[in-house]
Amino acid sequence: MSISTRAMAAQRQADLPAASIPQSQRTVKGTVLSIATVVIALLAWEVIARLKHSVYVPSVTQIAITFWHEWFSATFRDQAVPSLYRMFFGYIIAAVCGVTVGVIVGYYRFMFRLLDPVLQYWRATPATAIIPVGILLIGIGDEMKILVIAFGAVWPILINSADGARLVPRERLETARVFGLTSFETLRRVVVPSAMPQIAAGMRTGLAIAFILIVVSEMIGSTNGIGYYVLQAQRTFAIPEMYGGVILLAILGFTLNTVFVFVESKVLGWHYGQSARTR
Amino acid sequence: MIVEREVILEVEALQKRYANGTLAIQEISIDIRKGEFASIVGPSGAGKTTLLKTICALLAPTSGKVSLHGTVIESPPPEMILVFQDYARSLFPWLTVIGNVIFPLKKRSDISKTEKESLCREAIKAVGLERFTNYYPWQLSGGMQQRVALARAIAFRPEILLLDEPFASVDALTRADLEDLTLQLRSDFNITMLLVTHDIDESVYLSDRVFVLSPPPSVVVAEVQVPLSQPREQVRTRSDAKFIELRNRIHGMIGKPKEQVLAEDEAHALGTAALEFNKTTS
Repeated sequence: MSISTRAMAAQRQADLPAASIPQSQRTVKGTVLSIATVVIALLAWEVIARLKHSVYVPSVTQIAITFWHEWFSATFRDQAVPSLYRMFFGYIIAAVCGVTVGVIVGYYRFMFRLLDPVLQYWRATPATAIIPVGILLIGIGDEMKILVIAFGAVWPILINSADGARLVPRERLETARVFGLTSFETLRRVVVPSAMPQIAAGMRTGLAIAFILIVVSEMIGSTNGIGYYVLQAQRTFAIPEMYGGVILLAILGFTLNTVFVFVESKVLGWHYGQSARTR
Repeated sequence: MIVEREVILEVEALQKRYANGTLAIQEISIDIRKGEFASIVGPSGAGKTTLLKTICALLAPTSGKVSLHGTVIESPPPEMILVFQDYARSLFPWLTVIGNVIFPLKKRSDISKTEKESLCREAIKAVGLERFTNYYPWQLSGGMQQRVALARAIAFRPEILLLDEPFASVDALTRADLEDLTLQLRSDFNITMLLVTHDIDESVYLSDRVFVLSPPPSVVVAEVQVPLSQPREQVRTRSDAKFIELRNRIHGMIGKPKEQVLAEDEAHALGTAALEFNKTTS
């Protein structure tokens, strides 16, 4: 009896924020405010641009028209698609290697001691610093960008996965041993799920780094891609095009992050539920 | 009254020294008989958890051995399951109640999926959580989480449950509930129980036999039989004169070196004998 009432109370508490009316009103108010801020900022830009008549600061409408013509055309295929697939492959390589190696390094103590100095070294190195090295060793083709992205994004993923795997509560590992799980079964069924919150944090940082690296690597050594496009536009005084490219990057970055957060909330629902409860 | 049953778990001259050189367990020898509820009660820091982990081979003994059915154990045997004090850390927060309970059974190929599910349902029902199978552990109270940990152990069908202060992190009322649940599980599933605790009352209430530990490096200073009637009931058992006498006796032994306990026990026995003598002569 006492059990059921307690859990029901707990559940009621969990449902409360979503169900109560003031909360939803606040959300609506917040959305209205956010939209208002954006509208005011755009209006201000438009007014300043029209007053100044500067080539370097085109008006919002001008940028919007250019954006429409450029990115809803073959330019998207020629410039944005290459960036996206380089980033996709580079990031996938980083994620697979980072999580696999990271979890193993974190789980087996001796591996951690062995590799920790290397990890600390790469953690401290700015990811963009490896682009010249990449160009030197493998040229300016797709492989260079994919490898540079993979190399830059792998460290935060690896380090976070290793930390996650290393910090699994001892009782969890001992529980697995008591029930006769082998070392590998423990890794797969206990260590990896336990480390998921840290793995996700590392993958999110890795995604941000991959995004920076694709733009910079395309600016430094490329013949296409959004980074190349933005720099070319600036150099050829195609100013609205330059702004359009920057805006496209912002939109892509925002979309990638939103998708990531959505997937994370699905996979790690238990983690957020738990943290919300213990807070 | 106490029938001598077969010894299933034998701890012989167990010694455990930590890696840093500290001697945690000096020498402990105990026998656990089939179906009994035995407790090891000792002061804080007496190496109780270490002892239990060494018994189930999570830790290797420095010397001595542990045998189950006459075979020396070197890795955790499936017949013996340890329930940890910290349920929040031993349960898997990414799995629901049913997911946690079925977790250890998943790897077993000797029983079908349907059988596994029915084992789990039975265990969950036995701890009274059948309405919460799809809840996550963190959605449940502490006492309920410990019930999940018990259900997970029961579903695995061990012969022996090792309980490491399993009720230490819950409030007093929940604690009493869990104590009675444990006694119920013991009789329903015919499981031998070995509990370690620092709570003397709890050890007397639950057990058939209590082993009293000295401060570290630990030795067993006394083995106390608990001839209280079964089934135990919180109020009745705890107000029984025999219960109070036993708890006071253990209280007097706990935290003292073995020589002193032996000397005092002898004096007590002499005193009782003298009293008896006086009674008969007067």
